[in-house]
Amino acid sequence: MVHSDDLDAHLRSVEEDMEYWRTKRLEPRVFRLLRKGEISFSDIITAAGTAGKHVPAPPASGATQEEMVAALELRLGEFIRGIQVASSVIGSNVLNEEGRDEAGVYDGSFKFGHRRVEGPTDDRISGLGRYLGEEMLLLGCVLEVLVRKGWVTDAKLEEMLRAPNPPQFENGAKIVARAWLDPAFKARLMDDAKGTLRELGFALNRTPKLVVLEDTDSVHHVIVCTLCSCYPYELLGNPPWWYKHDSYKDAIVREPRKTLGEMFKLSVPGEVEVRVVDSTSDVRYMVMPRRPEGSDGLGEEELAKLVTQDSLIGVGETVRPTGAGAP
Amino acid sequence: MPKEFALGQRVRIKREGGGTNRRVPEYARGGTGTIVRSYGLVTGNRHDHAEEWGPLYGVLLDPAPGSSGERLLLDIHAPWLEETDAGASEAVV
Repeated sequence: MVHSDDLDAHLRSVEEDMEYWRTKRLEPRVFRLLRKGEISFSDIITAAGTAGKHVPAPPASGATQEEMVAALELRLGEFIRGIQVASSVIGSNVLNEEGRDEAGVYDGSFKFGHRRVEGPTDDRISGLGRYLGEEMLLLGCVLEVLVRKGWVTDAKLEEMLRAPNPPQFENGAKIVARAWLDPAFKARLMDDAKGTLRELGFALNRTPKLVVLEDTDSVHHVIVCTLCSCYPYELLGNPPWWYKHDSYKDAIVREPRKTLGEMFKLSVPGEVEVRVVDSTSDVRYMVMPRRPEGSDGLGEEELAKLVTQDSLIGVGETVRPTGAGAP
Repeated sequence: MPKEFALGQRVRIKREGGGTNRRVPEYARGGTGTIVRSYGLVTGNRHDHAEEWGPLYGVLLDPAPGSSGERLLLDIHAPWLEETDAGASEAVV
């Protein structure tokens, strides 16, 4: 598993993300509802007739492999959005802790297995498309059952599915850029990130505590959640696919420096401590990377463009400004 | 009242017996470290865990033997922590 622009890695990331959302977020909740007798299998099956109205039709597939993978990714985004909506409706009926039990977080023998589509690229693209279509059908059925049980109205559900402006990592990039420029803002951010960002209009209603970790000449921070996938979702949106993957979680706590090098091609100088923060749901972390060399004189907007999603997690560097010379 | 700890205090993460909260990673159990952050009681996380688990602390684990400048920082609730006399193997940054 490496960072890469190649099509196979991209395709694998779509697959991993789909399996994560299916096995950790959708199916455990369905199982919990079944176990508690809140819904039955027949509820799900009989909902299939009208399930389609809750999930969009598949997009027209592209001509090239790149276009087909891009179309898959768009559909995956709709799948994730639908699961988030279903989770928030189910939330009050099923406690998270029970959901974690159901997903096998505490006991590996309860873990839902991941599927893997193998073969030539064309076969993997069509295989994943088929899986995703099937999972969208299940999702549509679950959403329809929620309506039929009276837990949410049709209108409210459609409104939730269409809600615009999900949070994105660019929020973090802007905050970091501002902190680079404004020492007083940085001081407040370090002292009370949540309070400071709320003043800027970030709701953070489901983020109990938020901490910004400042990288220095002597410490480089990396974020992980080995237990599940805690991340500052409300501020930065969804994490990259590998963040939720066991291979990252296991390796980054066991051999941090080596993992940064091998998985992310990030070399941290030997005199700099690599500090891995294994987070939980109570405190969410974001890394404030060091300001890149050659960025003097740039404004907030230009600086924000140098901050990557990886650098906010601590597995990547900021971008060097163009014209700053070769490293 | 759950026990409280001070910044800079040396602690050991228990192997078991921390109560109903099971969110202490296996690899960290039994490990020693230093309290570097104190969050107090975390409230407002009811959508995630309904119970209160006591005051929360950031614990900087001692480096693993043979590690080269790599350390782990974990947030651990007080019932999972106990005082220890075991000294740090190096100064806390």
